[in-house]
Amino acid sequence: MDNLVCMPKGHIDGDKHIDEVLKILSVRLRRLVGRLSINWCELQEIRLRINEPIIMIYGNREYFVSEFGMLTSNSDKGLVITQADVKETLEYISNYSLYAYEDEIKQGFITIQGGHRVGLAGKVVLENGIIKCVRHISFINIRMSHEIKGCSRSVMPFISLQREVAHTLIISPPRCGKTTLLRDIIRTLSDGNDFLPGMTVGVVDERSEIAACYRGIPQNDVGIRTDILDCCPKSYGMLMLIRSMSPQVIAVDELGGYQDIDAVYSVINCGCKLIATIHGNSIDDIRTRPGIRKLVEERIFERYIILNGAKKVGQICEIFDQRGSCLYGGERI
Amino acid sequence: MILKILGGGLVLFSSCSIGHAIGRNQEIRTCELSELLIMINLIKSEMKYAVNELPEIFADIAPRLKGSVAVWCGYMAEQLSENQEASFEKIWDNGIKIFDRESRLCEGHMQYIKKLGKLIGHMDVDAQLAQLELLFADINHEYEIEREKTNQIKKLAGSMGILGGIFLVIIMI
Repeated sequence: MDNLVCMPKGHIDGDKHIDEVLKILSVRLRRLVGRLSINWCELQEIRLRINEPIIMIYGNREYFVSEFGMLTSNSDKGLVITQADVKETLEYISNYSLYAYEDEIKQGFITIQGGHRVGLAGKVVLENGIIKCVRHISFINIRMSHEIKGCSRSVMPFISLQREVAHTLIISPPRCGKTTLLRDIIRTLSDGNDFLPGMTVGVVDERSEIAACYRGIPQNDVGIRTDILDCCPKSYGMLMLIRSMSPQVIAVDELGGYQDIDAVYSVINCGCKLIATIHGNSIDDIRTRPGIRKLVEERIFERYIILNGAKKVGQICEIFDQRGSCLYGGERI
Repeated sequence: MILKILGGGLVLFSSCSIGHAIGRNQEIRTCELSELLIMINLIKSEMKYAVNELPEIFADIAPRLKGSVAVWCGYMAEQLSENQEASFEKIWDNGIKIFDRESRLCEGHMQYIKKLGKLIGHMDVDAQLAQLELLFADINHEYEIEREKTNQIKKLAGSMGILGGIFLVIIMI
């Protein structure tokens, strides 16, 4: 079982990552954080809240940063973030152009160079019940991108059927590495591997999580034959890709609504292969959802990969085929 | 006598040049206001249709403008894309200092430019466009006033230059 834990130490260039993140912090914070002598690969999040101390999630633990540029567990010693810090940081994040990120801000995040995601919160302005904009942004969460190349190596034999890709659904609770796994599957399919030749992959990246495009350029390695529709709703994007880019495989993250399910049928009827992810704990769990249940009962997906983060993030718990036969781990369902 | 004629000619020429320079100054000021209006319109369209970021906007519009406004936009584009160690306010203030050195606009006009710096970059596109619309109306009003003044000042300064020169020559002779 352990040999299938799919999150090996990735190829993360810590210095490059921190440079990308440092340049979006206010000058005061930049100098302070830049002074830390830590392993940047272990840095997961930087949280800024006005009038509260700066928090860093480092090696799965929470720390504060003292005025002397040291990590501390004592919140009283943490440097307090000012309104000017947040304002300046927002200017750098948006390249002095917050208005240009209106749609991203409505969704609550901006993707910056390097694929890092900046979550934003503040006062939400509604118009006719729809979010118009977010004003007075006072909370910023910078999440470091962690691309882990090679993490799909162990699942590739299961998703290739006689030199073809199987329609695959990755089922996982949040923060268990499903997007990371999907990204690496996309890269491997696109570049080609021992089991499958390289093929054209179309990705609908609704929340810029897979390729993390910055100004249209993928910041993560998604392979040489991959086309990306960035920030596009999945239901439209899948059809657009079929019409415009003729992909052999379509990949989407977090299937959910009825429109997504309709689009899945279009993909399958067009002869494209589908790799998708969904939030959940098991096949039984997703069977309770009306749209997805139909896909499961009609045996649309040929492989189900169940992830579980209980022991380790990205651990592959079970792999099933369309009939529910267990191909790896667990028992037949 | 020849020296007197030469001296008188020089005085007359200098006086006429001063008059012409005053008229020309007014003409350039009007042109700069007109360029500012064009700049605001270009910023509006870049924001509305391309939703470009400010560094790109300034880089795009600088070659489409003339004179000191073009120089200033070029400076802003360069600073916004390269200098990620200063707030927008600081970059804008530095830009205004450079523009002020090159420009013929008066203090009242510069206040509009300072106001522009406080408006752009923040909020959503609609709010930006509405604010720019208001600023456009204010600057356009100033432009109309200056444009009306331009012909009058040019004629007046020209005539005053000649008459003042003649007056000085007569006194000196």
